[in-house]
Amino acid sequence: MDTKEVLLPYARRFDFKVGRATELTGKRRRFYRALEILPGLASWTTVIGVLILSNYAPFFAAYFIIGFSIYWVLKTAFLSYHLRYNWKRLRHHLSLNWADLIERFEYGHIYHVVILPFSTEPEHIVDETITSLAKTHYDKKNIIVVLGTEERAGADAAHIAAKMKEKWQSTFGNFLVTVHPGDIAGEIAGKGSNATWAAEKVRTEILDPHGIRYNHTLVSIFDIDTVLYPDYFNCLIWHFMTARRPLKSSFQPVPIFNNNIWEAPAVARVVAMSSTFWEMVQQERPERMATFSSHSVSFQALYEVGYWQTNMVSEDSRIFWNLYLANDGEYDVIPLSYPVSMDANVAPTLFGTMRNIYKQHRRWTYGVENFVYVAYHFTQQKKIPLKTRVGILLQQAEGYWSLVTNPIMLFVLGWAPIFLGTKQFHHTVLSYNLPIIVRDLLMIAMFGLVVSSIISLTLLPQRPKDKGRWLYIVLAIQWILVPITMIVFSALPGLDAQTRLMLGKYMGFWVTPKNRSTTT
Amino acid sequence: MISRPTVEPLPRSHRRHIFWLCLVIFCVALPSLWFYTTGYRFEWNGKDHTIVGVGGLYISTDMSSPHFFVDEAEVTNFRLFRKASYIQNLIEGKHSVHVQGDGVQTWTKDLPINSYIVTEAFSFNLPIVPRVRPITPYTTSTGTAVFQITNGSPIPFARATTTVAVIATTTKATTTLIADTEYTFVKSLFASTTASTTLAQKIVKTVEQGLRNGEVATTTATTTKEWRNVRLYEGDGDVYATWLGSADKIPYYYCVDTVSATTTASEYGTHVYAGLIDSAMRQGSTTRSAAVASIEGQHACRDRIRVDRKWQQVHWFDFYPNSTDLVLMLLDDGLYVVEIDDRSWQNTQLLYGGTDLKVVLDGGRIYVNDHGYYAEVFTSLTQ
Repeated sequence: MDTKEVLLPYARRFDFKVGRATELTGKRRRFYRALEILPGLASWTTVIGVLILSNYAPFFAAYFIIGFSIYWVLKTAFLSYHLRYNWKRLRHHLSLNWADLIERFEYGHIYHVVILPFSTEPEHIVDETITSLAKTHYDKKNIIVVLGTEERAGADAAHIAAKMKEKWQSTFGNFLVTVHPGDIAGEIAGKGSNATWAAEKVRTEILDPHGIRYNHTLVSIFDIDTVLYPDYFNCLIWHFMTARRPLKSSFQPVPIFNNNIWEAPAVARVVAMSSTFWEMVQQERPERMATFSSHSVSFQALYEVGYWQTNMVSEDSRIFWNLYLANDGEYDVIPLSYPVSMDANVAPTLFGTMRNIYKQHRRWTYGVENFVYVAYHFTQQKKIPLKTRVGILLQQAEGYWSLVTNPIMLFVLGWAPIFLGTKQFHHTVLSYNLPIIVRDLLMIAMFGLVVSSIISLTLLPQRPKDKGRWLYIVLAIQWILVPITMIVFSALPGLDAQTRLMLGKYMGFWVTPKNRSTTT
Repeated sequence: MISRPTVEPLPRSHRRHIFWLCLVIFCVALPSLWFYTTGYRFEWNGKDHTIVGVGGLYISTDMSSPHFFVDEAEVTNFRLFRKASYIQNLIEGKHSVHVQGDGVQTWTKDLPINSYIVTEAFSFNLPIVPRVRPITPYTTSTGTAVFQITNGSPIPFARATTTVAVIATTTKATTTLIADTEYTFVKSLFASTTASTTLAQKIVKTVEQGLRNGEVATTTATTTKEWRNVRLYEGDGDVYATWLGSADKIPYYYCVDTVSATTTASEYGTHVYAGLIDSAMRQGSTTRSAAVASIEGQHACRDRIRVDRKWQQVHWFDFYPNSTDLVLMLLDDGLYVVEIDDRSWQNTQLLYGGTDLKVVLDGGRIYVNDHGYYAEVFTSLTQ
C-alpha cells in the first residue's frame, strides 16, 4: 500500500498496528507493557490466591468454590441453551436453498476474492479445498482465487502452487499465486503477513487493472484446510445484502473441525468439537464476537485499515479489532450460522497429536494479545462511548481470565481447602460437604455434555467404510474426557500463552501441521 | 418462496431473560448451599419449622459392606468415601453408633455430636469365629497341611475356621510328606522372641532387681513399642498409648473440641476429663484449679490414654498391623484387639481365644502358638 491517505483517520496512527510493547517508546511502551503483564498476573494471582486462601482462610475459600461451582453450572446451562439454538439455526441454514433467497438481489457485480494462505501443507489438502470452491453453487467467474505461498516454504510449495494454478485457473474468474517474501522487516512469519501481501497483490494486479471496485468485492480468507459447503457464497451474499452496514461488517461462518474427524483420536475429536461448539455459542451472541479463523469481509473495509497486521500471531481476531477501532466502533461481526469444514488436529501418533493440539491452542489463546491491544486503544479512541469500551473490556478480560482459571479452579483447586485447610476447618461439616457438593454440581454441569454429545453426532461427515458402527458409541461417550481436555488443552496452554506475554517472551506463528488421508 | 431464514438469531431480549433467570437461580442457590454445606437444615418434621444446626459422623472401616446404625436406626443414606462413610444430619447431642456386618463382631460407641462439626471414629470388626491358616511341619504333595496328632488329644484350632485344607492324622510316618519351610521359619520366630515372657514375670523380675539394690520399684516400663509417633508402654500393669508427634497431627480421639467442666465428663466420660486435667498439670499447671482453668472452653488434648485390659493380666502387646489406633493385647483368655480411642468405652474384640498362647508379629502377619500348634490369624473375613 503506497500511502496512508487511503486509511481511515484512526488507522493512520503510528501505533494503530502495534504488535507488542517493544514497538512503542516512552510512556506508551510502559503502559502497553503493563497491559501485557496484566492477564498473566491476574490468572496466576487467582490460581495462587485460591491456594493461599485454602491454606490460611479455608472457610472463605470453600464458600468461594461453592459459589464458583454454582456459577459454572449456570454458565454451562446458559451456553448449552445457546449451543442448542445455534445448532437448530445451523441445520435450518443448511436446509435452505440460498440461491432462491438471493434471487431478489442484484449481486452480479460482486466479486469474491478467496485468499488461501499456504505454507508447507500437502498437495491433496490444497486441492480438496479448491475442489470444494469449485463445487460451490455460485458463478465461478466472479470468484478470484489467490493462493498465497511463502517464499521460505521453498520449491515444493511453489511447485504445488504452480500445479494448482494449472489445474484450476480455467475454472475461476482468476487464479493468482502470490509469493510472500521471507525477509520483510518488521514482520513475523505467519498467516497475517502472507494474507496482507496477497491482498495487496490482488488489488494491484487484478482489482485495479480490471476496474473492480473495492466495495463490490468480498474477501474470504480461508485456512488452507477449509472445505466449503456448496451454498457458502449464496449465504454470504444474502447476509451481505441484508446487513445493516454491509461494508462495515465481517461475516463469520461456523468452523467445524471435522474433515478428518474419523481419523482423529478421541482427545482430538473432543477438542475439535469443543472449539466448534464455542464458535456456535458465539454465533448467538454476536455482540461478543470477534472474527476467528476463516471468515469474509469487504475489500473496502480491509483496504481502509491496511489489511491484516503482519507483526503478530492472532491476526484473524486482530483484524476485527483493527476495523472496530478504525470505524469508531461502528463495525459488526455478522454470524452466518453456516458451516465451513476444517481439519481436526491430527498427527501420525497420539503423542504428536496431543503436542500439536497443545501448540495450536497455545497459539489460539495467545489471542490474549488482542486484549492488550484493545485495552491500549480504548484509552486512545474516545469516539467509542465509554460505556461500550468498558463493557467490551470487561467481557474480554472475563473471557481470557475464565479460559485459564475456571477449569483449574473447578477440577483441581476445588479440593484444595480439604488438603491445605487448617485442622479447625477439617473438623467441620463444611469441610466434609465441600467435595460432595462440588462433585454433585459438576455432575449436573456434565448434563451439558449430553447436549454436546448429541449435537456432535449430527455434525459428523459420512462414516468411512473402514470404520465400524460401534465408533458412534465411542463418539457419544468420548465427552467424559472434557474435564481433562479443558485443563490440558485449554487452561494450561492459555496459562502458558499468558505467562509468555507477561514475561515478554513473545510468541511467533506456529503452523499447525495438516494430516488428512486423501480418501476423505 | 421465503425471502429470509425462518429461524431467526436468538433475540437479545430472550437471552436477557435467560440471563436474569440464571442470576435469580444463582442468588437463591448460593446462600442455600452455603447454609446447607455449613450444617444448617430446615426442620420439616418438628412442630416449629425452624432452622437447626446439624453435625456429622465420619466412620472409617475396613469392611466392604458395613451396616451403620445411629440410635438403633439403620442409616442408609451415607456417603461412601474411599474407606470411610460420612453420616450427615445428626442433631447435636450424644448418639449411639453401631457398625455391623455379617460374620463379624459389632463395633459400638456412644459419641457426642456437635452442630457444624464432624465427629470422627474408626470402627473395626473382627470375625466372630476366628479365622486361621494352620502352619504345619509337613504338607502333602498337593500342599495340604498335615497335623500329626496323638489319639485322644484335642484337635488343634477347633474353635476357629481355617482358610486352607488341613488333614489331621495320627500317623507318624513322614516319608510321603513334604517338610514345610514356613513352619521352620515360624517356629524360629517363636524361638527367638521374648513374647512368652509375661508382663507379670517382667515386673517381678524388675522388683527383685530393685530390692536387691535396696530400692522399691513402683512403676516399671519394661516394654515399649513405638511406631508412627505413638508409643505403647507398660505402667502399673496397664498399657498406655502416648502421642509423640506434633500437636497439629495428633489423632482426634486424644482431643476434645471444647472442654467444659459441666459437659465434657458426661459426653466423653470422667476418665477423659481427668486425663485432660492430668495432661495440663504435667505440662505446667501447678494446681488442679489452674489446670481446669487452662483448658476450660479450649480445644485440648491429652498426651496419653490407658488401654483397657478387662481386668486381666497383659502377657504381650503390640500395635495392630498397619494401625496406630488399635492395640493387640494377649490377655489371660485370648488375643484381643483394643482401640485406643476411649471416648465412651474402648471397644475390645477377641481375635483368637485360648489360654497359654504365644503371639508373634512379623511383617504385618499375626502368628499364634496354641499349645505347640502354629497358625496365622486373620483379621477379616476376606483374607
